Amino acid sequence: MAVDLTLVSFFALAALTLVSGAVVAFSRNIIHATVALLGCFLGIAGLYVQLSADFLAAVQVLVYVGGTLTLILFAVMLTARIEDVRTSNTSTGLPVGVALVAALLLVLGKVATTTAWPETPRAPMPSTAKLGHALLGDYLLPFELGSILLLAAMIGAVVLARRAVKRNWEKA
Amino acid sequence: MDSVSFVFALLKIALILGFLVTLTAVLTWVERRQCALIQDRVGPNRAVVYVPGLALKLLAGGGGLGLGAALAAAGMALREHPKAMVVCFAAAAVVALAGVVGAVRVPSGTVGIRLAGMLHPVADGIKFITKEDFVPPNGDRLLHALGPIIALFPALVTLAVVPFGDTLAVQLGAGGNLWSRLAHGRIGWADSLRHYHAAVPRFGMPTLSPDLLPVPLQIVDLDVGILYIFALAGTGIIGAAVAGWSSDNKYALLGGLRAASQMVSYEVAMGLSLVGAFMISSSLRLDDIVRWQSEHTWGIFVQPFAFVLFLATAVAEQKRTPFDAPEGESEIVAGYFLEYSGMKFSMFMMGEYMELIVSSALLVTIFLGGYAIPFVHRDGITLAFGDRVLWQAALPHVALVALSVLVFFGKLLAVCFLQLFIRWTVPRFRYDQVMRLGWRRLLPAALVNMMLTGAALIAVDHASAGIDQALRIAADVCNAVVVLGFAYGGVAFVRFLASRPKPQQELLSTSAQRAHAQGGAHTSPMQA
Repeated sequence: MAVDLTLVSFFALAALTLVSGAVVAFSRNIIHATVALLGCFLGIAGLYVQLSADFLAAVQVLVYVGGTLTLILFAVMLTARIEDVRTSNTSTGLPVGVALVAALLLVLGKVATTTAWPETPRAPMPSTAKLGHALLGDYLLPFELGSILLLAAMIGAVVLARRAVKRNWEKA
Repeated sequence: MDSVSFVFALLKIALILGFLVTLTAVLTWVERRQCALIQDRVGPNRAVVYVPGLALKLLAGGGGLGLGAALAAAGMALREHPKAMVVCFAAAAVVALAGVVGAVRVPSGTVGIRLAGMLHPVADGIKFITKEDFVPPNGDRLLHALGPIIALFPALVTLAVVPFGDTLAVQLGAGGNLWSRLAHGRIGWADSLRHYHAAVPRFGMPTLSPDLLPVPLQIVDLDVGILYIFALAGTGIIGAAVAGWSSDNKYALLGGLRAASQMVSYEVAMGLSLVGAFMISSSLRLDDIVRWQSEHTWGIFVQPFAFVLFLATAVAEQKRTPFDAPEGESEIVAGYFLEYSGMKFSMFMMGEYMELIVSSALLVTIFLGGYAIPFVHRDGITLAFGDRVLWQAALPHVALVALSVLVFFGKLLAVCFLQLFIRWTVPRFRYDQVMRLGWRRLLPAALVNMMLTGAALIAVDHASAGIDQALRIAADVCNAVVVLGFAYGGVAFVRFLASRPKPQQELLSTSAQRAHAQGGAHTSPMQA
């Protein structure tokens, strides 16, 4: 009974992820593609939950849906007449694309066949505390380097976004 | 998952969803009532159901007599417990008498039932369902339909991780079917209050004996707890933005962008304002946070700034009045739901009120003790300051759990009322003010609060035993303050209810003064 339910939910999540991924890739309407990305992210978060990575699932939705997807939506919506664009870049790079996809599929296939996947569903395994200890213990240097990178990106964004000249109504 | 846990899970889901939907309807009424009281208007009182008086008479009389007979039968069944029998018989007499008196006092002829305007949410529901569902001809039909669903979805599911009562321990007797085992699950029910021996520990999870099934009163107990709520709240942003874009309307697009940017901005400060509370209870699980407060004191005493920050950001997240920049009659009309009508509009509105309920539940859980009551633990009442125990009394387990559930929902209603009151009290911000407040005031304040909490935690960890004891006593003093405050508030409320309202009349115009001098003016029958 329990195994069946796990299988059913796995196939449902996989279908959600793949179908919305296909919509993202093939939809002619870029807004539809953006919204389909939501289903893709949620499906992947559900797959993380099934692999007992609860913290990763929550952060996946938090960062990708709450942050990235919103930014993409902003960019897409504020571009004028974007829903009318019907062209796609078909002119160049077909051989390079095929080669890249083949390489990616090879790597993914290797990983999928060599990983020891658990055959029975595991009990939920809280990972938040473990991840916290790992990030602030063994992996402190990469963690701090990542923070410095993000800080630099943030300062860069502020520098790009701010105006050098204040307008009249802004001086006060 | 065995069958008992499954049944309990279904019951919990039904309870929480039913509560959420009902409270959403009630809150729309409360809000209209409140604003009518503040603005000295009539408020909602137009929705009427006309019923023949004879039917009401039969209903009141028959219902009272029937319930009385049922109570009397229960009293006869409880012959072995004389006190319970007396209570049952007294209740039967009161109910039957009330039914008969009510039946006599119902006027004959047609009676209009208004229920103080409580019928308005029902009338609104009928209106929303039967109204035309208008879709802008040049808009995007699919996304126009999807927007309200994405906006409503997180509000419906986030209450799942909020604990609404202490863990119920069900004793699984050997043999018998599910229902007889449930009926005998009276864990630790005391023969008398003095000879009560708790079968469950005072703190922590009750997993003492193998025949005890702990049923957490929470639909799902996630380790990531509050991250789940924040993650799903983020998906609501997409709903507003998509609704604004798909409406093919410039005002709606501007409203959608305003809503999305406001929610993204305030989500940052909202998440950071709670980090201090997580550091103190060293867990993201909401149940752990409530247990910490039950063992020490309410979160509002250890994180007072975070309470204010979270309240402000929560109101901003719901896009309610001080922060209602996404809609504005004079600037962008109704904002992102401008082109919505009927049930789709009502989904946005219900989403707003459900978010209000969820944020109130979070405020209660993280800062106001959740289902915990000061000085009440799982083994009964222990009035203690530090190690000095002043008074102790045992209470049966089922009564304690029921009390914790009642207390949680009571606190939740009170905080919902407070949030509604904010709307009718504070004037709205301009859009640039909203953004400036979020990024330049609330976000740095949340960061400072986080750092101060960390410093204080390190100091407490290295403190001497004397300081530790002093902190414990301070926590208990805070608990005592809560109890005294509630006692005073209860007395004041009862006195307010018992007091006679003083009629205040201000005669502004000369004609009114003349009319008053001649024995009063014509009173309108619609006056509330």
